[in-house]
Amino acid sequence: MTDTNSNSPLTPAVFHILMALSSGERHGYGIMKQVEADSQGKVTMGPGTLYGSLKRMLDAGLVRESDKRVDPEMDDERRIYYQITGIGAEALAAELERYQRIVTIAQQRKLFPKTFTI
Amino acid sequence: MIHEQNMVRNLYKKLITLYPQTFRDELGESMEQTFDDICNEKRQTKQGIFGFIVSTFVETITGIIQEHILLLNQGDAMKNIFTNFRSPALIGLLFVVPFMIMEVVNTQNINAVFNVPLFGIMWLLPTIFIVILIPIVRNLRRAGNSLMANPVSLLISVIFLVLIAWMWASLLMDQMPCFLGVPNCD
Repeated sequence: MTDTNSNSPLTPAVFHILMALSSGERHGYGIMKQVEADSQGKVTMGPGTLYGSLKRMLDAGLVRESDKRVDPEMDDERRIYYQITGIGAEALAAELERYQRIVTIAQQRKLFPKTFTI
Repeated sequence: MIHEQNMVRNLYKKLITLYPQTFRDELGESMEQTFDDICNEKRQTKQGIFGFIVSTFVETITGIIQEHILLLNQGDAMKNIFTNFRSPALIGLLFVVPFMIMEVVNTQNINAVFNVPLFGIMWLLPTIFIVILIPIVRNLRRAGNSLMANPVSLLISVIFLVLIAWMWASLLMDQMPCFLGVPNCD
């Protein structure tokens, strides 16, 4: 479950959705495509996973439905766009910090392949 | 091709109705739209749509089960999932749909598809199983470990549950060759 506490670790699906929404509001399909692009095609999310995660993120206040629609003439007006909230941004930042700390530890322990430099 | 896609979309729409009511009201329409978007993308890019459909249906069925389990864990189960016969019937359907799909996909003779009595029994058994299970789960949730307060009733229920599970498993094993498309099975 998604915890409202921004210090709680995020599930991979929630993390990828927050990453996708960090660069702007998107509808469901847009989130899926962004997740795919961000992960260079390594992470694909079906509608079941996406909307199951979105439901819990909405309940936890990590995302909300956007008031405005992006160019309604060009798009289906019934389409719901989602945007990241302040709590969602904090949760994402906390998760990225956790990743950064892990990467730092891995570097100190020389766990990365020689070809990999940060 | 368009007819097939419309059929798939309608099937997906029906599948979404198996989500709990609150979920369906909030996100059902968006799910349909996203599914349509992906179908359109697959059609435009001429990618194989069969694998996508199977994986999406399996993933969505998994999601439906997860959402119902979540409701159960949240304690809203009696209100949301087991208030009437409808939910057990829908959950029972989830136990049949994969085998219906298998038979449709694997069978060579389209006229032989959908053995209604067989699938009816395969649906009815898990539905009855859930209906019998409800009072046991309810007692467990309400009274902690006081299940043994009425051991005879519990024993009878458990015997019925085992019997139903055994019948369903036997039926499944017996009919599995047909689901897998083995010729001349009955």
